Amino acid sequence: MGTDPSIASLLAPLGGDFGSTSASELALVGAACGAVGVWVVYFGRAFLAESFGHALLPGLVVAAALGSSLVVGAIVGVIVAYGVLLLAQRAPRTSDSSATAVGVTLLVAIGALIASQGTGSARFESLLFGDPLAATWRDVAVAAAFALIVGLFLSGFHDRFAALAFDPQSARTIGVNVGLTGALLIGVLAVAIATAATVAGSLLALALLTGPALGVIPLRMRLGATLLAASVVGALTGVVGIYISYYANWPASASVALAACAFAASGAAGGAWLAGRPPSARGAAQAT
Amino acid sequence: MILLGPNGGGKTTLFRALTGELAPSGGTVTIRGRLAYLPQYDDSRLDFPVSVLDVVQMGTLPERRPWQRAGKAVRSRSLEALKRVGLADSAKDSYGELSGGQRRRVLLARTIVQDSETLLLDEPLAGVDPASSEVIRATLDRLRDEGRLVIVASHDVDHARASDRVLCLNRKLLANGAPTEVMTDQVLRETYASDLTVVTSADGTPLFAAAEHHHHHGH
Repeated sequence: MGTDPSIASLLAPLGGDFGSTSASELALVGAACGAVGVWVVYFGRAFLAESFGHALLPGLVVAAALGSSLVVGAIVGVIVAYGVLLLAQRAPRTSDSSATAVGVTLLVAIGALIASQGTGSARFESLLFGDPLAATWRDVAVAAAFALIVGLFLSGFHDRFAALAFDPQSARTIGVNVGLTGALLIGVLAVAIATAATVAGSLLALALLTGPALGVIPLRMRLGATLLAASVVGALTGVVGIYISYYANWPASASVALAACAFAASGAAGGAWLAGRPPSARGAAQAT
Repeated sequence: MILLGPNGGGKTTLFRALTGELAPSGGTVTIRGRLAYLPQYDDSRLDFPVSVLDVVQMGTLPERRPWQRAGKAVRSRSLEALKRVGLADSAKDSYGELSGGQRRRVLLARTIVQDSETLLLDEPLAGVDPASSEVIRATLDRLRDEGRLVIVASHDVDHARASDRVLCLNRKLLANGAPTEVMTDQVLRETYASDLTVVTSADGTPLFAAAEHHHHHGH
């Protein structure tokens, strides 16, 4: 008995190794990045995440040129970028945001220069904008390991992150190691944006972190539910992006970024709608 | 025990030195056991999606390892602390939707749940509605009766009169002892300098209160 043509058509974007590996990788990375993104938003670190995403470009380019792991290259790129940004922020009479902007621009320029010496233009474009359709089963395994590690990490430090996001001053007074907890957050943010950059590219990686988070935070659910929902939306972002790409014949990573932004816009609209409802109705929504 | 003094008199600075947040410029600080501290200002994010119980349970974080979630014992202790401040029925409510006075009581419960022998409370009644103020005062009295050392920073002279012991502070220690012994006209004038409003009651007894414009309430 053959498959129903309508179902076959529905599953077509996910069919074969080509679609299934891409969707699997995007779903795994999206789920982990969605949860990390909730903390990024609550800690007000979206600008840092964006800066990391762009400034890691030299690491990606060098890894591609050497034929080594892009994830490792991106993580090394983030570490170097963080050092450069901290150094830039020590410039006298310069605000941190201005110094960060200059530092990021410098690193993107260095990435472009290195690429011009050997990496092909098509390859460089894929590092900038991502190429999720090129995912292999090995990439899926790396994404699964990443999702597992991030999940365990966020589970372990959930209560400390919550105390710190709730009120840094009072977190200190109740005995939370504020410096260490803040550093751990930056660490998981760096790993997440580095992994997202290998899938969605240096320029679009941020969408995987902030899009799903902004899609659910305005809905004012409890923290645990918010993190879970952001993971689900993150996974859906990748799959929806694959469908958009398949049917509209648009580049995959741009389609994923558009899906992430659409979820964020939906969240904003949902939040505005909830804010207009009477408090009792909002309370009922929060209890769910 | 009440630390009595005007704003800027050094009450919060002394607390910060006691908690180790500030290094003392002279002398040493010796603490027996753990301290629990309630800061003067509530800078918490009201849009952060945590329940009242979640906030109280944060007080137990230092005794839990990273992967150790709040279990039944912690939950039970936290509910007991909420009961002490009259908010057991609000455990599941969103923290951000409580009134200012209720939030102050939740933060007091978070201080209590730390099971410390010494509690440092910085202006716990500042900006609090009368009902919450009454509950907080009664809770502090019960904690004292249980043998805990409760040190309250306050500029409220009446509050100080009702305590066991008063330390009058205005950039230096001016008096230390039972309220009836140390809260004299001269000590209070020295404590509040020119900021003291002197009010005389109907029978001619002098009453004192700190000038209103120096009250910087939390939000």
